[in-house]
Amino acid sequence: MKIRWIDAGRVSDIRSQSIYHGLGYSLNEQSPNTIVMSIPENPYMCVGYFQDPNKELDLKYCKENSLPVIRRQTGGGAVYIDNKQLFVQWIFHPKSIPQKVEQKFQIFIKPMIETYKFFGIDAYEYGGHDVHVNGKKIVGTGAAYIGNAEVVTGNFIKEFDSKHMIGALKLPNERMRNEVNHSMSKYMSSLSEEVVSIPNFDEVKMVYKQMCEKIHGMKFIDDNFTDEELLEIENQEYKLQNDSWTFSIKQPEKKCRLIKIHTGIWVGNTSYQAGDQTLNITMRLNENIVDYINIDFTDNQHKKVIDLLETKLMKLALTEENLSIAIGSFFNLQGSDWSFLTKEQWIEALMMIYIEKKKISGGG
Amino acid sequence: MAHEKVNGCVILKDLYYNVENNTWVRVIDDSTVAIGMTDVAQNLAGPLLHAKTKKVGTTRKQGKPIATVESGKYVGPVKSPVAGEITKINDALSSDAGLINKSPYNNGWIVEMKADDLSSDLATMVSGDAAVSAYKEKIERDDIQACEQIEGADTYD
Repeated sequence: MKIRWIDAGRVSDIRSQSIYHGLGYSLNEQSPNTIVMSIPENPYMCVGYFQDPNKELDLKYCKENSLPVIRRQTGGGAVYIDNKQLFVQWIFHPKSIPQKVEQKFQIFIKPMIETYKFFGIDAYEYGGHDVHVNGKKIVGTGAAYIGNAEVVTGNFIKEFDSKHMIGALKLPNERMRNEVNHSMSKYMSSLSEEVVSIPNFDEVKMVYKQMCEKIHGMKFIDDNFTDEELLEIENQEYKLQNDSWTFSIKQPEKKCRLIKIHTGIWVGNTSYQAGDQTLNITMRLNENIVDYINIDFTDNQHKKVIDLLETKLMKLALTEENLSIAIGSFFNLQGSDWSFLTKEQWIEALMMIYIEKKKISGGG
Repeated sequence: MAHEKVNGCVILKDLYYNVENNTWVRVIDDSTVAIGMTDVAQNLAGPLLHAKTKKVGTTRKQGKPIATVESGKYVGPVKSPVAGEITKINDALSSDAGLINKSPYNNGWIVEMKADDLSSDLATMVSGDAAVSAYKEKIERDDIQACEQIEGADTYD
């Protein structure tokens, strides 16, 4: 399969996104399948097509830290992007890519996995569309049908700036922010974390190209954008920088704030009102298992009992039945004087994050 | 309802299909139709997380998007099988796009449209046994994996 290879080098924040949008919209029957490599020069925040930046991001933080907000046409969640990331973008004719969504990602990530392996990193496919190493996510991906093209994107990350990533997220309280921070350290990785001698991006590009040739039989032709494509890339830049595009998605208020760390790992926060007391729950879920939990009351006078309850709930598989047994036995042991919630209310409160996670994740 | 399963994918024989774009059309009256994604389409997509339809009153040409959906991290269009005006949208999809997975031909319908020239559009689609044959050919040609029934999905025995 003949593929046009475009090494766009260092590009502006907006161009790192507009390239694949522009190539998608300008793709015609004569256009070649294309792989573009680029490195964004300036940091920015990028949200997925269905994300409402007002709900996802702390726009004040973004402004104060000179982080433009770009809403892309591919799926997935909010990500912080900077010049320590090497973008890989496939812009292909639909007939050159499998129709099943899972398979689109699988063929895309194979050469990335082999590239990591070349550099001594034991990478593997996880969750259908991500690349992991030792249980940590090392590549994120996104895809879309743009214009006339199937587009799949991903990135090699030299070093991940979790400080800006977490700072730019809109989160309800510091408890959740701390837990998102902790979870990102625990469940996300980068080249610098995995190897002592970090390859430079030119080396990564060279190896990646070889892996595409080896795995998919691609024959590369080094080339550049055509004038028509450049014009469409500029058109797309205009659109992507326009607030009427960026803020056109409005998502309703949700009972829970959820952040996906990677497939299966979510951090959630929710509040539950019982009389004049408010319960605030922060929870990390590994699939449906409680991996971390913190419960705060308005009135924290029974903190010691709550600490015991948190311990009891750790590693519990969240089902109404399991919660009923766990809360029931806890009430039997501790009595119920400490609690302003009934057993049923506890179950309802503790299930909220899991139910919302199931709803928005489709299981992932 | 007369149906057939091709590689586990349900094809309702009373619907019209645009096989290339994996959409179905149910004729409501002389010019009004309901439109949705086929069982094959929802299986290719996987669990849908979001669905956004164009607004009522929007006019569309055949092949232009009437909705955008996201599954996993993939965002794709649902292309209109007819030309005309959107007259009704399925509001339930904005809070539960998974309806398309569970009930692609019923509760997961996407829009209703008033077609400009329905008979011409229907002439470009297939129905009944012809639809079953067309899907058999497509599934074999494109090496489409077997459709899987998800929990809570409409059943066809």
